[in-house]
Amino acid sequence: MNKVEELQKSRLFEGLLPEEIEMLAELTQHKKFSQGEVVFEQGDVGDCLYLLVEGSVDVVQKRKDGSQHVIAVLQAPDFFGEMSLIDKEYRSASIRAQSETAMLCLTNENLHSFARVYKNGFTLVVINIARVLSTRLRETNQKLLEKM
Amino acid sequence: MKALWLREVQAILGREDFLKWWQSLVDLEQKLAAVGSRFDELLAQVNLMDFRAEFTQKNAIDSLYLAGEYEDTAAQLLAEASEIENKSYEAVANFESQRIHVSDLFSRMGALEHNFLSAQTEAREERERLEKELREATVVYERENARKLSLWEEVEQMWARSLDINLGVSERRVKSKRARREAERLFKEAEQHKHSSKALQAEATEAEQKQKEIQQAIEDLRTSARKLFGCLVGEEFLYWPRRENVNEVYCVPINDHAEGFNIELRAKNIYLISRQRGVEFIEPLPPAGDVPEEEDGRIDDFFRRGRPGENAV
Repeated sequence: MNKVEELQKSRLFEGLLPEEIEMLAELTQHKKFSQGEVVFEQGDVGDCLYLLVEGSVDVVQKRKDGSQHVIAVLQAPDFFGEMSLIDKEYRSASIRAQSETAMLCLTNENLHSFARVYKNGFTLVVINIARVLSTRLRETNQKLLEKM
Repeated sequence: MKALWLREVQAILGREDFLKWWQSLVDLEQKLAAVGSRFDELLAQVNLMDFRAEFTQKNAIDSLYLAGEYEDTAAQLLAEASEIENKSYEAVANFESQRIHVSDLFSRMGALEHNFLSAQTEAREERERLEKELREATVVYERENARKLSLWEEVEQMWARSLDINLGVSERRVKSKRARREAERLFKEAEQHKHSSKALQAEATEAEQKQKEIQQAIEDLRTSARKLFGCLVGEEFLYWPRRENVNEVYCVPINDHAEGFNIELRAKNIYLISRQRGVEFIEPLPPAGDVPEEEDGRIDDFFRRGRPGENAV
């Protein structure tokens, strides 16, 4: 797996300079999950974001009655876990590997290292996260409106 | 130990003596891993062999006990056989007496029958008397004859029992011999296992010694690095204080580490750590030259750029 190439495919790192991507590549770690394995649980402390490189994952939420529902399926080059980098809250959903999955993991601390060296690069990453969250919010608003 | 500039650390890492030192260390660590693995394997084999020796010895002892039991049983049966044999002689004698007695009764009965048949023309009282005598003689004869047959049955039963016992004795004797042979074989096997265990133990001791020698060689190599390269040598890293920033240290991993640290590490690459946290948090080197922020127009571009498409609010 060429980490630089994988990072370049992601919307999260759009607009970054080559040297910024290279530093981020050094700061990310490979992770592998087998089918059915849980990446993290709803309610866990969130301390890293994940970029899917291979395979797919279910985004699962638990209702108050305890029942679990798959609310989305993500595939490469989607990413998840980014909300915790911004609001530092607990995980809002569980992530479970649907198949053999490979990911790149970027922790808060490693992102902080990047931010200290490349301030503008970090700002762009945060702008990209905000864009994605904004898109999701528009879609959610639209769905709510249709149901009313 | 003095703090170094990055270029000085890079120069050290490029030197031929450093590369030789590093290769020697990696080779020794690989040898240590191989010898350590062999030592563990030998220890496991020694334990297994010891267990086998003990287990086989136990089985040999059990076999010996079994042989003894068979012999005891055979002896008991032999005693019983002798007793039955003696009783059977008595039974045969009894039968013979009874047979002679029955023969006499048969002769008497025959004579009475003859008298009775001959006395057809005699007086009625005489005929009745003879008939009664014949009847009584017949009853006695049949009773005694039945007794004779019963005595013979008894004799035959004793002989059958005696045969049964004799066969049983010989079977147990054979089993006892077999159990003893098995016990001998198992004792020999147990000895062989003990012998093997000793040989393995010797080999394990040798491997342990070799391990210690290699560990010492690694220690010596680490110690020499401090003098040769002016660095601190940890278990897995070399360290040089950073001249550019007194709170930071350059660290160079001796081996690759895909896991176990906050980033993936490659051997002989230079990384940065803080004095306080050490290798608990490792960072890649910052870029050689900074991009002047006034030249980076990306953030300004983001704010200057127009709204995308129709979805803008």
